[in-house]
Order: sequence, then C-alpha cells, then structure tokens
Amino acid sequence: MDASGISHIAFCVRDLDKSLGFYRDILGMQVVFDQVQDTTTGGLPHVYQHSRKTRRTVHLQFSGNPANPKLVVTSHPNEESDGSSIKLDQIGISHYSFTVPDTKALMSELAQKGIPLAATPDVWTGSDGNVSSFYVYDPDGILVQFDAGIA
Amino acid sequence: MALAWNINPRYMGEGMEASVISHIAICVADLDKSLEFYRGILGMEVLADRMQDTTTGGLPHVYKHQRNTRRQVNLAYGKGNVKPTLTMTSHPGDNPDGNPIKLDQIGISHISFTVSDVKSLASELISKGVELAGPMDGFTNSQGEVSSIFVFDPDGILVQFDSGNGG
Repeated sequence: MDASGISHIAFCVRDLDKSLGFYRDILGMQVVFDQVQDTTTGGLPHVYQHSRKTRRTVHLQFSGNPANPKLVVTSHPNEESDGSSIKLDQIGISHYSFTVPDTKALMSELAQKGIPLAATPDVWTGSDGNVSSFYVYDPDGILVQFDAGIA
Repeated sequence: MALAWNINPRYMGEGMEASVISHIAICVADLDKSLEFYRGILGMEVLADRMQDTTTGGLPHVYKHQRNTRRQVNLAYGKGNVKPTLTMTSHPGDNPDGNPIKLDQIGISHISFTVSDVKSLASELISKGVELAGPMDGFTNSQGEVSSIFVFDPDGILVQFDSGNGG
C-alpha cells in the first residue's frame, strides 16, 4: 500500500476548552483549525456510537514539527458523552507519547502545575536518578506519556 | 476515575518546549493477526519485536490488571527515524479486556494514514477482506470522490485513510 505516513490521531473529549488548557497552554501545541461541523451526513454517522448533530473539531500541532501528525480533538457541545479512557493493557489505543528534552524537569513542572501523574515521581525515577519516561492524565483521564526519546 | 485536574491558573500560558509525538500505543488481542494487517496489508515495517517483563517499574501503574509479560512490536513506515512509530502490545496467555471506541466516545478513537488514492485503496482493502466501517457510498461525496474512509482492524479498532486534505 502506498501511504506517506500518519496524518492525525483523533480523540474525543468532554470539554474542549479544558483540553486546550492542557494541550495548548501547557504542552505548547498550536491550534491550526477550530470549527463547529455538521455531523449528520457523510461517513461520520457510521463511525459514531450515537447520533450526533454537531461536533467542535480542533487541530493541534507542534509548530516546530509540521511533518508530525496533528492531534484532532473533538467534542459534542451540549450532548452527553460516553465512553472512558483505557489503560495500556486494554484493547484499543491507550495513549500517545511526546519526546521532550528533559523528562525529569518536566515531571516536576507538570506536578507543580496540578497535572495528575499516573504514579508518584519515585516510580518513574530509575536507580540512577534518571527519568526515561512518565505518564500523566489529561483532563478526561486519557493517559499521556513523555519520553526521553530512547524508548 | 476520580481526577484532581485543576491547573493552577498562575501557570497558564507558559507553554513547554516544542516537542514531537514519538509513538502511539495500541493494545491488541493477537499480535500476529494484527501484523497481518499493519505489516502485511498496510506495509508498515517491524523495527522491534520483543518480550518484556511488566511486573516492575511504572507499567503496573498504567495497567488495569496485573500482567506478567507483554510482547511489544514497534512499527513504522520506512526504517529511518520516522515518528511517530506504532507501539503494539499484547499479553500472550492473558485474557485481554476493553473494547475499541467510536469517534464520539471519550478517549483515543483512531489514527489516520494519508494515502495517494483513497478510492482505489478502499477497493483493494475490500478485496483483501478488510471490513469497511460503513457502506462505500457513505464515504463518497456527491461528486463521486472519496476523501476518507474508515475500516476496522482485527480488534475492531477504527483506522482511517485520508487524502491528506485534513479531517
């Protein structure tokens, strides 16, 4: 098959503004698209669990890495959302990981900013004092990993 | 899940250093079956395939159940430093749980691949026995064009193919 790569990763959230507080304001991603769309026609009804009239779609990207996939974040304002995020050993897409220059410093920074870590800092700290990777929860409880680029 | 997710407003707006998405993690029931799809049909390359101990370190904290081992396969397009890779895991001999979600449910529903010709790919996938997530006309616009399709992978996880025009 002739594919040029992964274009985007899609996730659904309860409150898009709250998610932007994390992905845009804390992780530093840029909003390159923000639109309310009709979801009643085309292919979307076939890939929805429920009938949805509209969605708000936001595309996020790291400006320094335009070739890297976008995050496509959607919500259904004023509609009840169902589903819950999963852990790593459950069938489905559990998380994505960001490579960052200093995992240890970022872990302290995020903890200080009130972002819930998936486990206490000592769990992510090796016997050599280094942090090769750690996990946090986003506002919907979706796991997000940060790695040092080795794994 | 009870989450204490309250950002201290004092820290808002101080974006961290620009970064890159390194991998996307998928758990599957049967890794060989998944490889038939992601490697055999989609043409991804296997960069690593190993068994790992999952009883120590951070992993037990991000697992729903206790798991002794996992098989982990890293997949990418091309052998170079192509990011992100897909990190695919399974727990051989263990009973997996969890169900893939649809686009309107909380969580990560799918990833999308950009391809040069979505319409002919759709025919190719159908002929190879891949299940489309909806009827072909549902993904076809009034001009007869197909800008994106969704299929199910072997675990029922949605996979999208797009023509690169967003969405």
